[in-house]
Amino acid sequence: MHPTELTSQVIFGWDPFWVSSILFVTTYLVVISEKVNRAIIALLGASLMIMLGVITQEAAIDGVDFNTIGLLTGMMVIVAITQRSGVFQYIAIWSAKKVKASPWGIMLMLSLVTALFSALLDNVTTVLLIAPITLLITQELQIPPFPFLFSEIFASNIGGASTLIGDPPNIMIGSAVGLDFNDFVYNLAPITIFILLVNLGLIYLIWGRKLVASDDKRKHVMSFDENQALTDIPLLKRSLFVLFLVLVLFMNAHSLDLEPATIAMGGAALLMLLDNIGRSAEAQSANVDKCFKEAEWITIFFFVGLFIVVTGIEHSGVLNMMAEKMLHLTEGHFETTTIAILWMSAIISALVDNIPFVATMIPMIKSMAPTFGGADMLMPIWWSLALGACLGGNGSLIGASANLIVAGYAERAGFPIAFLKFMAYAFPLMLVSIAISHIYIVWRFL
Amino acid sequence: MEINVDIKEIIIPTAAVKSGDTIKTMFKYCIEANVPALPFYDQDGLLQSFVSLKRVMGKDCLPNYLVELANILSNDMNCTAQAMEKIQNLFTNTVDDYLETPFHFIASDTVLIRAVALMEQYNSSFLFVADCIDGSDKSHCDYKGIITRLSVARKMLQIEEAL
Repeated sequence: MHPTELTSQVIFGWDPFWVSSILFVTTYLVVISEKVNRAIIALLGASLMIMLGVITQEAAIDGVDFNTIGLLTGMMVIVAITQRSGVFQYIAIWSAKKVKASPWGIMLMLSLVTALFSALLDNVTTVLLIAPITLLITQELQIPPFPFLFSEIFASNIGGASTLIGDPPNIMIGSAVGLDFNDFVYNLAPITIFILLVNLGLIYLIWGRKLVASDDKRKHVMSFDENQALTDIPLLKRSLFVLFLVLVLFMNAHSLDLEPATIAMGGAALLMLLDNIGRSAEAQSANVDKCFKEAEWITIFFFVGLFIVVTGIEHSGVLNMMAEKMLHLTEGHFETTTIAILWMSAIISALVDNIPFVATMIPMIKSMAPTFGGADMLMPIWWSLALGACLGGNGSLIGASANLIVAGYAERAGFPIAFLKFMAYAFPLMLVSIAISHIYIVWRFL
Repeated sequence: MEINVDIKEIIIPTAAVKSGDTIKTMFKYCIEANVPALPFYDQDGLLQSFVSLKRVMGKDCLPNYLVELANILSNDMNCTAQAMEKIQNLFTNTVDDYLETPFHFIASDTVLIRAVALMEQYNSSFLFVADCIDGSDKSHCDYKGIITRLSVARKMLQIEEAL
């Protein structure tokens, strides 16, 4: 933060506190309404923060966390290239055949594969790869796809909570606090694995034990040839090499003094290089253009706009005031604040997009450091925020991008997922996840 | 020798569909003329949209997941067994549910190279041909037919043979 920029030059001498608050609330309300594309709204809110004089352009640019943007973009490009090889479909079909196409076995395997992919890639890409296979298999077995899709949504959000790169809230928290890949694996992976197993157990009791398919129908699934999914073996080898290299670097980022964004962008550049060697200049341009187009620019620009909007309210003192109010409510009690943030994050993330919520909470929590004895003391709060925001996304169909993507895909295929039906099962299961997280946070960190 | 390079000779006359016509009727018209699409006259008699076999088949015959996983599908599948029922349901639907816009058309005196360029620009394998009195008022358009890439290829062969 630049103290000189705190003396805002808001037009007409308006109070920067109110101008930034109104812009912030309006931006969030329009994002929640989903009437206008969220990237447009975030960028418009960011532009107005600067144009109205709440912050200068320099302060706005300083407020954008390019570590988050670089990590997101780099991983998107790596995944976009890797998925062209068909490796993800191969693994999904292979895993379904490994359990002899039994309905519960398939549900279990696809959920575990989804959780693993979500931990190492991003949730949206993972569910986009798994959903078509799920619909195909359930149609062949002539069983309802809803329990399978439900289980995969849960697995996706739980798996994403376990690593630095699994879910955008973790990327933001990791970047803001300086946490590396291993910090997330060490502190969050054990509990997310346990939560996943508990949820799969509950899903088995609700649906899994009742699912049956005749031998004849299971033969249909066994007739799928997973090898046909592998469309480009050289690309597969290159992609797996780069993915492996990127993961090794993530695990050793601290000792190598590398930021996650550097590793992801470097990996993306290396994979593009390997993918384009031997092609003509024209073919290279077309191929690189295709790779870049597959990155989710709406998400990336949404982040950019959001960072600037949050910088605006941070500079005008709104977040400090909100942090003080929260500390007042929890009477400055550290344990109460930590648990309150866990539950509040979960409930809010179930109902609205968790990305803007986490973007707002990060500077707010940082401002609590003096009250709790310094930044190092805030670690339990960061883990609460990460668990609450990621797992809370399971609470409703609109809680996370992956949920909406699955619902949209299923609807287009003729299998709509009703909002209330999903929530009737999802919200209680999400509360179970948060209750387990509550016990874990208290046991491990408080 | 002067070579005629406009599209008049390769226009394929077709029927047009109107509101309430079934998909079965549309398929019959397409097969009769050997074309992939037909124009649609709205209730005011205007040519504002069209119906294509690609859209009809893509929307109802093939769910998105089958398209994405086409390379791993086998011959022994439930969805092939359900094909009869799907076809019967599809044929009773009306064309109104499958309309596509924008309705691009060219005049019958358009030269071949422009027609091909427009096909490329619209990323389409066909173009409708209609002559309008003032060039823009669609209520006075006289629908002539359709040109396809196949008919363009035929014209190109004719030109080459005439040289």
